[in-house]
Amino acid sequence: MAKRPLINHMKYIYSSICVLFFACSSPDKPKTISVETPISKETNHEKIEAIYYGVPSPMETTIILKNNCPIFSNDVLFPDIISGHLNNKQSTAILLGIISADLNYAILSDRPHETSILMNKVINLAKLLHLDAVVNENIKQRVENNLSNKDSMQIIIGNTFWEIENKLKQDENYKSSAMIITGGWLEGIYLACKMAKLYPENHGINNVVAEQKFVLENLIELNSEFKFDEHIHELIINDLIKLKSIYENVTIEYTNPKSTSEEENSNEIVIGNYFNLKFDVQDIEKIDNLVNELRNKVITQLL
Amino acid sequence: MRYLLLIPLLALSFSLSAQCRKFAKENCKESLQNYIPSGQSNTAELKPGERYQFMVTFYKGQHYRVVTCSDPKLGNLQFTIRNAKRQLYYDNEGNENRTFDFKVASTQQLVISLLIPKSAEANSDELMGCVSAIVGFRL
Repeated sequence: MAKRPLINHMKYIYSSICVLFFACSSPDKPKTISVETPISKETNHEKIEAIYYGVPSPMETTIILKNNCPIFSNDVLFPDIISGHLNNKQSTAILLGIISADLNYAILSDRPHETSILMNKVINLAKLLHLDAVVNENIKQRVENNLSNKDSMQIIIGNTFWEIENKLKQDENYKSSAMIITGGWLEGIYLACKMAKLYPENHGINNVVAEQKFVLENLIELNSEFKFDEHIHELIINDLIKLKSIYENVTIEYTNPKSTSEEENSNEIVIGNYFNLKFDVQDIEKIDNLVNELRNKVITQLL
Repeated sequence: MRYLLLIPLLALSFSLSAQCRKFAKENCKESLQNYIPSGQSNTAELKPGERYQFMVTFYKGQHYRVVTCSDPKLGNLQFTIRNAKRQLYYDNEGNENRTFDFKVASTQQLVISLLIPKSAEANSDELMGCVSAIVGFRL
């Protein structure tokens, strides 16, 4: 959805000047997109344009997490807070994102008891954001009817969160939408870091933490479209930017110089570059420390 | 003073995009079929010759479907997928293919572009319509 189009327009005129200026020194940065040589027939239409940013849903992130580390730990779930005390829309939206990620984690881990509790929390938080037309007792009933069917629950929850995002955008409530996404991402990376700490030998889970480098870049760009409340900016946005600087240590090592668009077995098309992410244990520890700090701030100062 | 001048322009922009707010749900979502929406829907209001592009992170190992749709009055929608260096991986070349199923070689950011072709028709500058794209993943 076009957000603040006029502001975007001005922002990208500025960005474009910066891109032209820095293009030679940082060719890998996504913002070079608008000045690189285009390849297809759309050449004739080429002009400097805005680019919007998307972030995978907390559900998708928790699926990746569970694929790499199937263990469930109740201790890592977000602690109970009294949501009745929430009087700020943006803080409520962050909490809704966080609890949604925990809900997905419980669903994927076949934890019906936790799923039921977290579903109730999601419903209560959605009410505070006037989203009860989307998340309500009907959804809860559908989830409970499918507690033994993980796939069905995921489909219900995945579609429900897409509907939430659409409803918020229809209501021009873009900031809440961005905060739900931010909260979901924050809890997803928190869970990944905890698992990485518990199972340091599990390269897959460490890699999941490292891969969040890309998602974080998009998340920061997405949030940069909005002016959030000052306390949100101080507590959350500033730390995300600090986290990005830690992620500079996670580097890309191309394993095949050619990028691909080829058919793999069973007629599946595989696209993109082949590369590995290079990082060491200390990088993951630094990421874990800052994510921990950020989540504690959410618990103690934001809510 | 200049901010006062911006207010009506901003209001106009929002009211225009309001026409497209339900577009993805009503026109695109069904084509996802058994794929679950990942992240946000991306909708914009475009004129012929204009392009909307967004960057998304795709995870290695996941099966993805990108679904695109546009207001029929805008003509054929060109839909491309590139990496951050603009290497082209998919181009529907403005034909009828509105969906693309794929996996990625490594977890990475890709740019999805939706382009409305320039129209030779008179008054095409006044033509405007909604375009949308949804990314879904398969369980």
